[in-house]
Amino acid sequence: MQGIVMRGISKEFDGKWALRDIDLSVEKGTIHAIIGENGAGKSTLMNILSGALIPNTGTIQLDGKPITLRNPQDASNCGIGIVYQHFMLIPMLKVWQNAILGIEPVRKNRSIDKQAAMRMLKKACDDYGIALNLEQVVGTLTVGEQQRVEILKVMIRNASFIIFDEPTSVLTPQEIETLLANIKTLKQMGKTILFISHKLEEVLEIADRITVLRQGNLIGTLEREEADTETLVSMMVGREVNTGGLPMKVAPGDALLTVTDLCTERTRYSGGLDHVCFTLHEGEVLGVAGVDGNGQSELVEALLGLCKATGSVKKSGDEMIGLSGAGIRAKGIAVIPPDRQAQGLVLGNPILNNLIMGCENSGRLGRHGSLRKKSMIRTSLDLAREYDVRMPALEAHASELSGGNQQKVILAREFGLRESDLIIAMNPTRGLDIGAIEFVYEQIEKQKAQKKAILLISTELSEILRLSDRIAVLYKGRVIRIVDRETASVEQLGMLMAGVLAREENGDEKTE
Amino acid sequence: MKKQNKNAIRTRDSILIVAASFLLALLVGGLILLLQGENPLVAYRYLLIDPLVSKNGLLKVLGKATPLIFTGLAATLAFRCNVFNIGLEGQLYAGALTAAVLGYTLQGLPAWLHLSICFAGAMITGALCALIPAWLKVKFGVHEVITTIMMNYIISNMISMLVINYFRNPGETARTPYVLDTARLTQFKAPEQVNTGLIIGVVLCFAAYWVFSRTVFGFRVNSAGKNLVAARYSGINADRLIIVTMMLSGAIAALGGLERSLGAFGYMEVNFSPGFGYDGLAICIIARMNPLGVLVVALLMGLMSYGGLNLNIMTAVPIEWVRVLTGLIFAFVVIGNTLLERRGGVLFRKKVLLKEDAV
Repeated sequence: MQGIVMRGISKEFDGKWALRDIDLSVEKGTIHAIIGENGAGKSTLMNILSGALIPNTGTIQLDGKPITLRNPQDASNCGIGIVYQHFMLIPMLKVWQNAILGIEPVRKNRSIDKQAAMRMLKKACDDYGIALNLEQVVGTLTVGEQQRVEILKVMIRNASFIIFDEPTSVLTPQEIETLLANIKTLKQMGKTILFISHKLEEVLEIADRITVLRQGNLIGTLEREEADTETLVSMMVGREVNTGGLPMKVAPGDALLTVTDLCTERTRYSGGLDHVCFTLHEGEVLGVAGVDGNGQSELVEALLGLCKATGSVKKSGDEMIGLSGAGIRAKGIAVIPPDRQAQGLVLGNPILNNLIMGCENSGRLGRHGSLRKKSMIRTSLDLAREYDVRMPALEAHASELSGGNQQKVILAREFGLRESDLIIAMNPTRGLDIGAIEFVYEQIEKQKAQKKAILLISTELSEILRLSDRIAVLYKGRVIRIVDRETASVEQLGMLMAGVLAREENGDEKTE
Repeated sequence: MKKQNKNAIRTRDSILIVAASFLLALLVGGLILLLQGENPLVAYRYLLIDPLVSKNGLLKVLGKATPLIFTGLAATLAFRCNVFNIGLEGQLYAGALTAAVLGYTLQGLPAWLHLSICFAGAMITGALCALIPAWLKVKFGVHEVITTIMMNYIISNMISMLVINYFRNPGETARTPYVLDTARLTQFKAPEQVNTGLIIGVVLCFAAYWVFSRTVFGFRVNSAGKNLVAARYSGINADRLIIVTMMLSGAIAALGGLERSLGAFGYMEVNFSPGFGYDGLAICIIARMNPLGVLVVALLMGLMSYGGLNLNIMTAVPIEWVRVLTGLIFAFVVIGNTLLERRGGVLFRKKVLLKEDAV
């Protein structure tokens, strides 16, 4: 058969099957989507096809011939190209320089033949309908354009088989449309596409066939005609779930946090915050929606005193700008950081240490700066039990926990141990499975019921809609609109996130 | 899940790695000796056993180990916070000179007061020497490895200059006058170098062990040292922590210099250190940043240092071979550490059964 055939592929990590006995056939000239929740094995499968991982068992055939992929070069030589989720680009180089990196056409004297390179790139751009200014510096491009540079890179390496790894997760709705159009063009040019995603709408729009993975197992492959959202969701999660739902109703109290004209410095690759204003009340969840990279991390860091900021942040009347990070946290703020492994936990430390980190001086664990072992063990065991942390032992390192249990450690510490009346949560369910996501939502609403004020910053619109009473949209470092959950619609929020409405309104103001 | 004490397993594996590295190094070192036509067993007797059977030898070993305990511990304090204080050598010299100068200039003080002033002076000087690179790191993000190495040159040369031009004992080699009796650390058995500094070093090691396992400060250092960002996010003032651990590290390295000035020699001589500061870094790595481990490894290094001299006198084996042996131990420990890290901190993992419902 023409195309790629994988038979009996298994991959094991530390005694756990990341992939188990996968049989997958990708027919030449089609768009084949692979969907599944985070942790279903999509990335592992892609890494096996790209040569980055070697499977424990199984064979791969390309156009009927068996191949072995020992490293990414092997894959590249076989005509397999990958557009990574995290771009592999050098920001200070120009588009054409990035594109030819590693396969530079050279003149006889070993200098780079720019004319030849430009000819090759222009032809590729024309053939595949990729709109790019080849002379522009990559660092100044939008995320969507950077992705096109990645696609261009793959095309000039003569890949006939292209893997897209979660390509839409960083794009605005409008950029997604352009990307999907590009992918369709590639198919018409005879390329074979493997499209990895967890967003069903996109998959249903472009795929010819859809394969569903769940916890390392292949659940089934459907033709496009047989597939609809309900079938795919039930295949992905294995049970009926309701990811919809509305936020719990709690009567909001007084204003707790007032942010006025909060600005951070512009850096080379980020615009910083631009006069952000909002008010957060007790017993309220304020969702901050936006496409990743529009100032979310800057907002968290500015509020926590981890980066330089100007303006005013008043919590119960006390000014927090100018205080140190430790001083701000002492005012009673619980935090769920965006990246639990880098910012939330010390992976190389025992679970016990992680459960009490930041609260070690709270007086519950000892006195006069010393710590009592008994108190530490009792406190952390109680927390682990209350928040249902499944762990081998308290002394085991945090790195030995699954993602969901790592997040539970953070929840236990921030909600169970820390004294707080304000919670700042950023992407609190990133990378978790449905069960863990529901647990996190439940815990956040429990805190809300206790009249705590919650700032939820998330790039998942469904999460924002599920939890928030009001929704602020962050675009290019500015809060461009705050809408009530009851009147908000996905379409309106999508337009705001893409900056479309903001631009129109600015235009209106000028004409007035 | 079966209950097992993971901490006990980790401690066991750490000791296992250091012991295995030592034995492997002896094996490879022995092969080198064989190639030179020497009998390794004889060499090892002179190196490792001979010094330990006589009281005189034992005292010499302890004397050689004492400054290494201080520098090893100083390195451990900084490394635990993930700050690489390569400046121990300079901080040691600074402490040695301050102690010696205070020791011979202040007259008419009772011993307890005189010694207290010397201790305070040395520790403050050492801490200030370490403060400069720590401040540069926190304020401007300058990497401490570069600044501390540069500080070593600046401080040790400045101190030689100070001794030669201002504090020199007339007519002698470039050294200060003897310190007064009120500033001497009691020697156990003159003229051997062992003195009360050894006891102070041992006590400090146990104290540091307690600090790291049972105090808020130690807890914060353990967190920040392994993940600075997470520590910051959890509300720990990491900048202050870096400055405090660096200053403590400098102060303890300075005490190592004080021990030489007031205890072992009674004066401070230019270029007296054969690299105690640098040896401290190696000791800290071999001891896997454990203060009690530092004690053991420093004693072992003291043994090899004196045993090496012994070996050199009794056989034709060159003294450099002992440095090779130390290097081998260091290399094997580093390899072992990497191995341990890859296995998530546990050396022998039971073969895990693959379960159907692995999540």
